[in-house]
Amino acid sequence: MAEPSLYTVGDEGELVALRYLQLNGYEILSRNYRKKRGELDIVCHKDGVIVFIEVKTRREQQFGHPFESITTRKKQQLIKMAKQYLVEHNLWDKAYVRFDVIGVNWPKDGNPSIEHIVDAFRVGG
Amino acid sequence: MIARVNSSAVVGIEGYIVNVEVDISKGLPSFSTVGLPDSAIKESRNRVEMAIKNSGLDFPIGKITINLAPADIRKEGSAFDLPIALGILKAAGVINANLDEFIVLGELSLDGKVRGVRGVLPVTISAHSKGFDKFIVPRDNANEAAIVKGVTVYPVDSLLEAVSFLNGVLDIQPHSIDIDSIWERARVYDVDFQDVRGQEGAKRALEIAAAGGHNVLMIGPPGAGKTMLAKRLPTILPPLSLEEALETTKVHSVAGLLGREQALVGVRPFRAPHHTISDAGLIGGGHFPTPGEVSLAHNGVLFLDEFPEFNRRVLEALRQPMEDGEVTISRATMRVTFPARFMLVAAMNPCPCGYFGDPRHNCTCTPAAIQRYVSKISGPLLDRIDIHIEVPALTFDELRSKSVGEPSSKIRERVTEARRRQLERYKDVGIYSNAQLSGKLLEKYCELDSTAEDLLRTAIEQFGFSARAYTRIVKVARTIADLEGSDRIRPEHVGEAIQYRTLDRKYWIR
Repeated sequence: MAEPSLYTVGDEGELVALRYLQLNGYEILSRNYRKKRGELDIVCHKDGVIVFIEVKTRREQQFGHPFESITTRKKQQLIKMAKQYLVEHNLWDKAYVRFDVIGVNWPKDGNPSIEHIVDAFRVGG
Repeated sequence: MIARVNSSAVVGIEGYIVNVEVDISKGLPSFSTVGLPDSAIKESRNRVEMAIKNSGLDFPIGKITINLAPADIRKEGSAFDLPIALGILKAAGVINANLDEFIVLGELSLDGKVRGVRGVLPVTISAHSKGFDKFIVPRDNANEAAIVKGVTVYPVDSLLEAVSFLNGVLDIQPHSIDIDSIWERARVYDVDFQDVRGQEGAKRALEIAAAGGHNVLMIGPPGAGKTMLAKRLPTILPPLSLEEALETTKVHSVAGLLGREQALVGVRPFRAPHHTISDAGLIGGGHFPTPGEVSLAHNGVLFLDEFPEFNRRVLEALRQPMEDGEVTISRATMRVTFPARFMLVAAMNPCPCGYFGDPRHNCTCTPAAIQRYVSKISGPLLDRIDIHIEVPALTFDELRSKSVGEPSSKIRERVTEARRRQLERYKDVGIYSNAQLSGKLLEKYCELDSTAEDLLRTAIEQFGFSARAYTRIVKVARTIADLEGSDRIRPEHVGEAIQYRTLDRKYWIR
């Protein structure tokens, strides 16, 4: 695979994640659902569960593991966005919901590898 | 879908049924607990989630709500972990059996193992009385639960074991214990009065104290054997009845003091808290009240060494439980009562340096220092201690002597007989021992003949005894007469009783 330029590494990582999800039987509902307060990278659907996915791509390990950048604040933001999405699509309390994180590790001179955390966090606690 | 699991919790030493209701519905994934949970229960969601995942099961997606009913009683402790986990799995369809007939208790560790919890015995007793007879408990608590007659106890080691059992893929042998053999084994003391060299006077006084349920204060120099004597007092008290043993075990169960192998406290407890103990530690207390030393000594002996060193507030707090035989602890959210019927044995040195009155050492204390030391024990408290004895230092000959004293079992026979006489005599007046005599009852049951009366008058005048000392002497004389099998209190009984009033003798204090 061609090595992506530094500026689009996030987008490229999302594409990798997207392909991974499709291969694993997820139906993609929305990409880059963007509102004033933030963004949901990928919204998809499998086995009756709506899954909100945050994708993190990293070139080098020395800046930390991809999942380390999911802070409490980021979680709160994702939850808010998810609420908005659910209300907008008339799905509030009508569907099971899950938050996943996909980490894409893409070393400068290598191929991307994917780490998928299912049910990464829940509301509260 | 809603799932229900029965569990139970303790308030004081009584259990009550708690219904754990679990609902999993669509919506944002969350996990909340309602029904007045304390922080240990709020934390349980983390344990439950990890335990389920680490057992290789799926933790269901959805909005999970746990309700602990009745919602108006504050719930405490970690025993709800297992019922909550089973409820979640049932709501998620992993368990398809009916859980209604079980009472479930247990704490979960992160790897899905089930840990022991406190208060299993009281919970089992009260749940059984409400018609439940099947219990799923941690293996650590199986012995304790199986003591109750007529219950079926299923011990589990892990969450997975409980799930497999409920789904019918695993057969768990109900835990049963041979209550008679446990009862026999649990009733053995590992100390005996025979071990004590010399100190015949003190032994006799403790025999009298045991026979009448009198509280005792021992005064003597360091190393005289006060602690050794006190430790052996439970061995000469009448043996525990099964009911008494169960009650004492309940308290120890609630306090979390029962070992895995121990099913029953079969001997009278001996509790010897250090003198730095706080009033909450002695009487019981805490945000969610737990029993204190007085309750742990229920039906046994509470030994307070270095009596004057105890905090005054702590000692004064002793008065109410000594009077009532129970402790009531009130909190804004609840009020609990723990039983606390114990014999108090206090020990102290005669003075701060310890050697006042010892023929072989010089006392270095000033009279004022002695006075201050002794007066740390308040009158009202002293009032509740019937017998004071001096425990002198042993001489070399006594230490080396090969003579073996009387075994505890012999002494206990006499004590038990004296107690039986008292029970017989007081069966209509609602007390059970001479120590509880007061006012009218004292006059009625402790009539002195004229010679005894004269002797007592002389003693009171000569030694300057107070009115307080008078009633104590009469009560103790009553017990001495009972030990001898005599219905009447004779002069020699009074004469001996007078000896047990060291602290009232003027020369000692002033």
